[in-house]
Amino acid sequence: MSARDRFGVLWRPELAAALLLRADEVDVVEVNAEDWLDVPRSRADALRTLAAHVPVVLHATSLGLATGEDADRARIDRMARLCEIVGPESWSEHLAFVRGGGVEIGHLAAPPRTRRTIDGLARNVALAARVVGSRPALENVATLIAPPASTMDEPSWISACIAATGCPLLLDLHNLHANAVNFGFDAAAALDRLPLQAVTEIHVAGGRWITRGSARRLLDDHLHDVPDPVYTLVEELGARCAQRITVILERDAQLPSFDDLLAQLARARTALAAGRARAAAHAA
Amino acid sequence: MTIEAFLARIYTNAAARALFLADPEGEALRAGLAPDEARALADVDRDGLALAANSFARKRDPCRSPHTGRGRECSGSQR
Repeated sequence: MSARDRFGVLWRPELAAALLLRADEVDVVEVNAEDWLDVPRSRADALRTLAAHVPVVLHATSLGLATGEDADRARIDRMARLCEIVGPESWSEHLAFVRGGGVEIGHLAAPPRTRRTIDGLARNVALAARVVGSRPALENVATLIAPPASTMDEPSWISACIAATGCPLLLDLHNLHANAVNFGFDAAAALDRLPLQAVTEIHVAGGRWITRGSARRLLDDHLHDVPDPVYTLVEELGARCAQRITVILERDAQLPSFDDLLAQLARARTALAAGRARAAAHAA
Repeated sequence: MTIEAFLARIYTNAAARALFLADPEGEALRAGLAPDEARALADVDRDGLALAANSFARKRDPCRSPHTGRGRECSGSQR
């Protein structure tokens, strides 16, 4: 494994004491931007203090960049303000839309995988990069519905999105796993069709099965431990990527002990190392 | 209407969703979508639509923080 790889967790207030007392065991902290977009400057300054002690990456969910519609400029302005206050190492958003025609969906929705949404994404990312001052990393999303009216499959669409924007790819391996089991494709094979040279960061997380009649789908809920197939994908990624990777464990709630979170990070570290070792052995 | 607006409507409005499921292509055309977009919606993933609409509804549920979508964890993140 590259000594440059880094491992971190999603910031939750419940983890504050542990992160303070055991800062040497976490390389980086991801912070959900929406938790901070509307807070007074004095509160946002606390996040700047955190960023002074550990690298912080801001992770947004509400900009809705992957759409043929124009992104909400006011939200981009608020993201820029937060970045200015906090000074994060980087920021990220999802390859998703969250509203349409003024109707708020309430969460991330996979857009139609078409040339039109790629072009819209490129326009919106260009605006966001200009306002914020840097490009976001773009994350693949999990979806419970096969994105309607799509003309491309997921690897082709993601590849075109990254090519059109020049953004880094934040590859969420649980999202990839969930889409693979929900829609019947091989996640490891999909890795070979993604622009892995653009990956700077990966997410690992857990989920649960939900059903409707005879239909059964995996929901990426961030409330459960990372399942074995995701660690397998971490290893597969390690075997295919030589560059430094930042690994973030996303756990929103139902938090286990900090030791348990670190144990899951350790498994990800071991898996990434195994993949790197495979690549080295193959090259030798 | 854009296709994103149409999707946002059927994801969030049960009545609009029912009308759509009764006649996907016709309802899309009546909403003003282009014929090729309307045709592409004809074979919509019906189970996925129901599951996704339910998941989105939980996200908008007032038991969750209006600020972050979090709070009491009703449905999970899916991001």
